[in-house]
Amino acid sequence: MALFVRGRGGTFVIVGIDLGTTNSAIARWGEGGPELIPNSLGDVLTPSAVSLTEDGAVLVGRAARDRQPVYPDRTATAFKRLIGTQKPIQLGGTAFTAEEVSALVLKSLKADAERHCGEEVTSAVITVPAYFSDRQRKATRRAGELAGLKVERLVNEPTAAALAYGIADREDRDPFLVFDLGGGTFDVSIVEIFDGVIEVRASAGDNRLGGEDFNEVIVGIAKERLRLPLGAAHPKLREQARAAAERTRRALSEAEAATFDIVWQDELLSTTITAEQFETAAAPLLDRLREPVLRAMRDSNLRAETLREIVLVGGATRMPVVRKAVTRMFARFPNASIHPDHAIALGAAVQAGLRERRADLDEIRLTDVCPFSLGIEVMTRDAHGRLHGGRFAPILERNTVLPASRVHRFQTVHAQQRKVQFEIYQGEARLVAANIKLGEVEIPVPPRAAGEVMIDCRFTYDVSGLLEVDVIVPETGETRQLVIADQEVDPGEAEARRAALAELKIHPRDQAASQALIARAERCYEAFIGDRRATAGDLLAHFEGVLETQDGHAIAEAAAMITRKLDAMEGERYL
Amino acid sequence: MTSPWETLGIPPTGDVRTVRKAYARLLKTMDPDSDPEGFNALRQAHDRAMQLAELHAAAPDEASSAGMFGADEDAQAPAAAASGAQAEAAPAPIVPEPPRAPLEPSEAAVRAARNDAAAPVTVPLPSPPVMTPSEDAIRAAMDDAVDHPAPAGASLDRRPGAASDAMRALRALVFDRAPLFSHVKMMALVEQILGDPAMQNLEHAEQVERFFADIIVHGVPRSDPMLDRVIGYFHWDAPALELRRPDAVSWILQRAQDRYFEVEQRVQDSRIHRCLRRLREPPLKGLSGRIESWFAAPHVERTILQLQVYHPTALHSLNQESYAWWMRRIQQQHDAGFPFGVLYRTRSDEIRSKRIYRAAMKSLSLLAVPLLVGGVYLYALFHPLRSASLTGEQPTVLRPVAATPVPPFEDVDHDLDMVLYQYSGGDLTAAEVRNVNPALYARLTREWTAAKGQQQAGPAVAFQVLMTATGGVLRDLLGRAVTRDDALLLDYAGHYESRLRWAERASPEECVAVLSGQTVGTTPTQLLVAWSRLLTRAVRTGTPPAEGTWKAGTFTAPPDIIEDAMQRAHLDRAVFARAMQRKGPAMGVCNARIGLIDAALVRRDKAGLTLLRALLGS
Repeated sequence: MALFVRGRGGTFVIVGIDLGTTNSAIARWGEGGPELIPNSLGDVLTPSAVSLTEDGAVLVGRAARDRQPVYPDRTATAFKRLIGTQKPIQLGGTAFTAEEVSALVLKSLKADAERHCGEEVTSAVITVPAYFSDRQRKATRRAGELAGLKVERLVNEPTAAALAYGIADREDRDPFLVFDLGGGTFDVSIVEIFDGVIEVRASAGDNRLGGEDFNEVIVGIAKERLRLPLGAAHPKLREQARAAAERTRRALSEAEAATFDIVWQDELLSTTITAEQFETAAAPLLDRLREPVLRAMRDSNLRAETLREIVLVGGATRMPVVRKAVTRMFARFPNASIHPDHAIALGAAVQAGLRERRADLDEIRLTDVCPFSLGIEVMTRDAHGRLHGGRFAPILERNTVLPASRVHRFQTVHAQQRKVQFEIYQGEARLVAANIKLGEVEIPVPPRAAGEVMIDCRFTYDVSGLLEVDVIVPETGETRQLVIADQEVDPGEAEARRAALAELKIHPRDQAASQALIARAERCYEAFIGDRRATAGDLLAHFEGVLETQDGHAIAEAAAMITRKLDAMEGERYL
Repeated sequence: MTSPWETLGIPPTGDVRTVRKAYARLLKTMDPDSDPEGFNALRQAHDRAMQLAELHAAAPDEASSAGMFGADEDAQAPAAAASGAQAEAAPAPIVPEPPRAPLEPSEAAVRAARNDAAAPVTVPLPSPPVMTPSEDAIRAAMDDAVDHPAPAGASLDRRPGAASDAMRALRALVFDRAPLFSHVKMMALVEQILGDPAMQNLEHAEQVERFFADIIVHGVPRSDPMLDRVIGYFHWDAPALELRRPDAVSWILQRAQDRYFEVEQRVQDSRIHRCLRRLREPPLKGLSGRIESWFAAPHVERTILQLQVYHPTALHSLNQESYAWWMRRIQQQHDAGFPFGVLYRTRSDEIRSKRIYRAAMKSLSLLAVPLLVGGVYLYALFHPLRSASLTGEQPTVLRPVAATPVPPFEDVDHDLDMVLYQYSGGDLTAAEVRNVNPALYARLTREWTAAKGQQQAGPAVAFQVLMTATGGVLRDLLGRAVTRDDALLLDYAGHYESRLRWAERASPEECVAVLSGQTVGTTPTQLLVAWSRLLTRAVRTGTPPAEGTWKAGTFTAPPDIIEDAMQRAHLDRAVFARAMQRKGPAMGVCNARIGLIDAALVRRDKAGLTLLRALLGS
């Protein structure tokens, strides 16, 4: 996400945003390189969590995530997985879509950037998983617009990571593989750098594979051992289990065994999970890592041994099981030198710098690919002259360099046909039924004998990965453009939604730290029993008392003390 | 269209780096975002120039290094026609010369195999339909498995030697005609290769994938049993790869479908199935064959056509000699003079233009009426056996269909499965025998090889030889097993007694025949079931079979048992003694033996068991 900010010298200041499943980050192109912008709590990572307080104010970030186990019905996380769908997300009785909730996160990040740069931020470039579909991309773009940002460009996450990685020394590099396993999505890109051209050769991915799935594995183990009644009936327990699983998974990255602790009906349930047990249970997930890797290598016509290196990105690649799997796959150790959580945001900032033509980036060019095939449904004639419908005719083959534009010519099937319907699909299967439908266009044609009328279908895929379809009948000059009816929102409604979002009261920034601390203490109160619960309760009561005095100095002092105590109680904190 | 070299502003070159440099230089002068058309033109010029440059560079040495998944990229390049054309020819519906090794190994190959059984015999393979030569791929795969360095420090349990041995063995199993073929062994090898931890390595996995694609394509139909497992393992049927599926993989998937077609045809469409059976059997001979082929040819023609269009790979499992014979016959009948040619073509068109069953009904009503009167009679006279196969389905062995119907003496485990099924009532399989009783398995394998040598009398006769030999081995095994297992001994004794009583009820002579080991008359189902259970138990004791044949031994019985037996048989001492030597009236011989077993059986003590062991054991 590039934020065009008019700086002091009259130049554009550039900012990039990584809108992740678990965490988001914002960065800008600073003096000679990309730099991250901290949020109001001083962290560079902001959890992608949104919570609605009882008084109707919106909390974003760590405070919201800490509130999740306590107020599961008023809090949303991991909503990136739902983006592009109309599935409602309930926040305290109000239904939101995933793009609206994402917009709230973007809004908060925008506020952080504005405060940091001291200028208004109006336009942006957002990163998306490379394997995001057209629909998910459009939804992400709309989320940016709802947050009041002009989305200049969408960048693929592994591409952004490769940019951040390649920009550091600007040397030529043989093809290398970016292995991006984030909170909710998995992407693989093969990238080559020569003469300042950063070229993505191929991308592949799995939109439903990430750290969250590994958490589910741990929840599964615990559910079986502790007989937890997980289900729709106990949303609170489910969220607690998820948080506990996250904690266990992170502990397993450091140690050979970790405990899974959860408080249920005022009873502490605990079980120890070893790294080996985890690896066995996660084997199906690890197996799913192979397919995209293989596909990207085959599409770029490369073999594992000709890859220069394997670059790990994304928080979930911290897991030893994932690193082990990668090591086995390539028979060598991956490169984990770049920061898995920061690389994508930094790369986005680089892209933003490119976008606004910074002099120090003049010698850099980036080309990306579209990771899936796009085409239309056609009928084909077999050897006996019979017609078979439902066949997929790709127009843009996958891993075509962007921007790309291709025209294919089709003809009518029936005599005296009055109109032709073009259904646009994305996917790799021969039958359209197995692919994803993106939309349809209908065009009138002059009545003629079968096969006499030609129709040109042009697919244009821009650098942000957004598709435009133009259908032309050369004979009549009739043209049509793709309309995705079920997703497109009419302008009036879009305006209304934006207004509704704007009306939501954003929690005051200067109270963000206090809010986060209260949320954390409340979570601790729920997560512990016995003495520690009592301590958390005492601390909470104490802090609320201090807050009422409205004495800035005393609040800061109490906050520091309580943070220290909670740290001691909880062990290490994580983001 | 302007030349890519003009667009790039460089002279034609074979140097990829020069092309890349020129592209990079020009790319920096433009902004792809704001000038997509300009970028498109540049990119297309770059792609084209890269293709030309790579071809140029590859031309001096051979361009055939492209592997399975490089094939389609090569096919786009015009000059890679050699391998590309071959690759495209493969899935064409009509395969004139199916890639199939001759059924009988050449003498040289057999000799070579006997001389050095361990070394894989290089069977001269027919021209590969799809890919680069198999030898290279296999060698590359093996070399890779052996040479690939394990990553330092990573605790990977890699035993490359084991996998490459298994690959070598698998290749020998599929391609060499001399060694014993067994799908159980094949699947064990496949599992060994796929279960190797080294498969986690992508490079190795890809080599193995190529190895399998290669071995399956060339090994049809022997390689059929591994199809499902390998397709499933490598996700060859995943829709996500459908658009870029290599030709070899498409061919293999086609084969997998065709194989089910072959299996299902047994039950679905008997007319097609009958035609298929004709094509699998040796060609018909003599005048009766010619007459029969006159009636059957249109249907066979239709079947062949259907196979060629929809199930091209199924052509490989036909008897090639027979296939050629039928093709010749069909051609001859097409070309035959008036009125035969016209008649034939009319019938043929009729069958082709309608759905096959309707055509069948029509031709039946047209042909059956005159034929029913005289034709069938004459026909049966000419060829009674074949007429039986035309008019009725012969009962097939009740065995779960696991793979292609295998002709006898192709697959040792398949044949032994069938034989053991008969003797054990479906309880025993060749795989189990191999595990629980390796000595027996070895013995049966030898019997199989011996029976295979008698095939000149016809596979059915040879199979009967195998059945009889196996029966002898199993009965002998039971005799040996009862000397070790008392429970089995008692059950066997009870069964033997019931058997004798049943035979005696028919006639005393029949009982004596049973005593001397012959099978006469009918045996009730319960006894047969009990017998197969006894054989199964005997096999499962792990008793090795005896070498040589079964001889009746002598025995001595304690006097008290003799007394008891005499009373039970209602015989006096003299008659009883003669009856024991199988002399005297048949009734006495029977009763004496039944009485003796009875007497020994009721005692259930050491002396009784010893006697039974002597009576029944070997």
